[in-house]
Amino acid sequence: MLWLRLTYIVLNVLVALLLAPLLHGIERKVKAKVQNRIGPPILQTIYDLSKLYRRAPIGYSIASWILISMSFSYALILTLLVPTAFNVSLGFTSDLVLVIYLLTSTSVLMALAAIAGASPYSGVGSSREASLVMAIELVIAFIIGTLAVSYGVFTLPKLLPIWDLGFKPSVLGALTLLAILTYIEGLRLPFDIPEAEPEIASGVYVDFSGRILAAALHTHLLRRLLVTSLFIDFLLPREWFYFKLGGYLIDLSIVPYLIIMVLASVIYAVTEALFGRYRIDAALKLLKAMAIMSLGVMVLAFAGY
Amino acid sequence: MIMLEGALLKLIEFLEMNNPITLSVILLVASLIVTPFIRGLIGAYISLAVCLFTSSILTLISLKVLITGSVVTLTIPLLPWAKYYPIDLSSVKLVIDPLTAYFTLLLSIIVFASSLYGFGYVLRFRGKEHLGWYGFNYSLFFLAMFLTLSVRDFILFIIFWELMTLSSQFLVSYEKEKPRAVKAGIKYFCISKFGAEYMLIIAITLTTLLAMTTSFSGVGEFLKNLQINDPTLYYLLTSFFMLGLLIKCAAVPFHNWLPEAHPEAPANVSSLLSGTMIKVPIYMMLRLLLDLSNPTPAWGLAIAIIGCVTLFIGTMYALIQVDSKVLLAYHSIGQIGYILLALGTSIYLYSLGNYLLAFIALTATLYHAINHAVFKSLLFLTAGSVVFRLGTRDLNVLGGLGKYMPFTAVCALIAALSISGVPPFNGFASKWMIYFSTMTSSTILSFLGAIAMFISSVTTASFIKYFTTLFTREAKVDVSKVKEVPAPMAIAQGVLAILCILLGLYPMLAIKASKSLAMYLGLSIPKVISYGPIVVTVPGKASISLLLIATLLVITIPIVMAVTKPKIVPRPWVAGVGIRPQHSIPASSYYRDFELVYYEPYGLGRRLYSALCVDFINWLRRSLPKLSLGLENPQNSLPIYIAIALLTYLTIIAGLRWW
Repeated sequence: MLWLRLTYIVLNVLVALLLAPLLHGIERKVKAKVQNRIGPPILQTIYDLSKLYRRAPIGYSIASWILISMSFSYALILTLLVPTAFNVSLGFTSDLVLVIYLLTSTSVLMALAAIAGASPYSGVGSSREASLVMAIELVIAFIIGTLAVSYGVFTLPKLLPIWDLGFKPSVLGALTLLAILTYIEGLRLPFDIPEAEPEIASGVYVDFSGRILAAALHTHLLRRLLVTSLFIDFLLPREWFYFKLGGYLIDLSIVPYLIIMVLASVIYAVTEALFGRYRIDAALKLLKAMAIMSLGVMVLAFAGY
Repeated sequence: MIMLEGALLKLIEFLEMNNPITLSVILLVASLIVTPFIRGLIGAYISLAVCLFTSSILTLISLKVLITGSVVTLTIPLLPWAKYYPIDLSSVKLVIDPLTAYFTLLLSIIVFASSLYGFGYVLRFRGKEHLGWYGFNYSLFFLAMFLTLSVRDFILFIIFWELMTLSSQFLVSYEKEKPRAVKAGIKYFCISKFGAEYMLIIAITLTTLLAMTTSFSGVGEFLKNLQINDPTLYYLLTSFFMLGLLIKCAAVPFHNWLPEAHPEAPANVSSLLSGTMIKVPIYMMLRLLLDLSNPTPAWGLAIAIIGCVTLFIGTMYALIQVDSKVLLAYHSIGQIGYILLALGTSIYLYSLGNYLLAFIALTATLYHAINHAVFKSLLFLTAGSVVFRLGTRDLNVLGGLGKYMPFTAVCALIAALSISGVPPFNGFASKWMIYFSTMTSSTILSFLGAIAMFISSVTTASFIKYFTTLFTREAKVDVSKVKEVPAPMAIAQGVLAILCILLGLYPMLAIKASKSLAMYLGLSIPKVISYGPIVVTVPGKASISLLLIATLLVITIPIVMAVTKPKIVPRPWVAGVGIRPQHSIPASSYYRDFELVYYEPYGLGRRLYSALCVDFINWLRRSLPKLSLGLENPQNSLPIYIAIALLTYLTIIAGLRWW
């Protein structure tokens, strides 16, 4: 049944590519409604991207071009590893580490590509992005550590969903922290410090244009989608939505997945509307507090809870 | 691949008939005799050419040993009359078993690249320094490292070890006009002598006296017996060994000689020091704890914890450096921490009987050792290329070199991505093995693995700074006349850059090596296969998925890359004016906020420093008035090493008397 699997994989990538800007459009609309504005149409982000994809970039360096394409293809590989629309994770031993590394790599390559341009604003943006990556990684490391200690595996198909492995209080703590982290990883408003449009003129994106800008923005939106999906996958029991039809296994878990993703976008948008931007040190202090909490969770896991 | 291996073996067989190892040693010794008398460029070139040739031979031989698993033994007659018990210098017996072969392979690859690079780099010293002495010490350094790895006698081992330190010390302070280089050389010499070598001499004297033999096999039997009959004595003896080895490989808290010594040497020597010399103690730890004695949980755990502390402190301090080579040197400490963590994990898990994870950790040790050697050498070479052209290492003023040295920039980028662990470069695969083996073991090691994972992102951030300050943003010095480096230097960088990619895509090399090593050591081997950059423990499951990943990667990049050349290239501007050098952020402010918020490691470091180096020395000065003559300057942490060495030495001698 290779062809069915391949179809699912291709569909999965396509859905992820479209869903990421669509959810962004929904977030923009909801945010506008909360702030009593009309807001752009829901498909606006898709329109923006498709227009940018058709434009040739102006004045770019080869280095940033290569780095952005790498970053984009890493985001695509991630859609093969993290179950999004369909459960087609290409699981192999300890792929969770690869997922984390690819997620980090996309933002690292973005930061490198940004500095390859000449604008000082992009330099500031990159250094902020790298600082956030470090602080986030400390929390992630302990969360992953908690899962590893609790279940002794790193392999996504074995870990997802978490219910099959037996629930523990430490895992509940780790997942709560992960939920907050999905918001921060998405670099949404109080944490959009590397971008900071009014302050450093879009920071990391300031030097990009045309197709490069489109690829960079698309990577960013894919990252948001993937991080949220990873969290949802831990909780969503996808086997409940499998149906047998004429000997073929039909995966309908896309339905609950989409509902949850839209709900999550609404929650994110409302939260985003409530906050102003953090200063970088305030964000780092918050992440440090989270790191201490996640360390506590890991200690709890060691103790066997 | 099989055809390639076959052709390789044929070439090796041909070489073997002419006894290539003896030939290499003879050539190296000959270059030692000739070079001191030639002051000019030829002096250095002779030695570099000999090293280039011999390192290629040794690469082939060690590859053969690793592929076939056979052991090469040979005896070189030395001084027939010098045969006094227990010191036997009548002949040198060299044994190249899989463990030696692996580290010889690592050594000879790096020596090959460094020697090639040296052909261009020594032009820097023409007319200024005596180049013959450079050649002499360079050959001696290589010869001593090779012999240290391949002898099987403790007395010869310590002799070659001393030669290794001595020659590298002269290379560190080779530029004798620079006071910093001379000072760093002296500090390095003193710490190596009083710290590492005193400890090793104590350990070797005691062990060989008790075991009544100096050969590795005899001592091995003795140690294995001790483990059963008298564990206390075993731990006492091995702790002397380990202390010496840990000082030599710059594990925290014995690390502060390294960031001073390694950057001061010529670039290709820095790459040898950081790439290979600090791996020799790792080799000896493997030999001592896995070959000469059975793995013990206590040592495994101790090494893993020391490794974790080392990688944490080393990398956190690397983050705040603004000197290109000092930054790299701190990262050497950090990466040695990774290797120690993997080594400790392997020993600990072997002793607990978790063979699968232990084998992966052993592979990670070997794999990360060669990966670190390759990318760190490449980084030191690229930093050296910048020094070669501009003469400065200050990251605050450098910049914009990517346009003028594109090849060096690409090599530096590959190395930076490798050390950061960006897939599919080589750093990723070995780090992955480390996380896998530590975190899923569900022991205290999981915590250490989590720290290692965090530190990996600090490494990444640090190399974003390193790469961009050197190659992309606007420079504060005039770089418009800088040209690309000469061909030999560029080729050397290219070779290492290709190795970074190959090693990342084909981890089977390390797995094969560690399989033949595990077989040689008599450890159990689980079924592990590798597919691309990914190691899986269940064969066959991942094949189709990884094929897809690879295809996707290969296809998307060109598609996204297919873009027309821009017609308009506007000059960027900021706040109404063109970009000025003063607009770019200095290297020291890149992560200032991060340093201010996560200040604990730095504060702890300062407190420990004052507690150990200032307070302890003051206490020592008060209590031992006669010994304090050389200890006036508490800024220098050198006295602490001398003090520790002396105190231990006195204690041991007193203990022996009493016994």
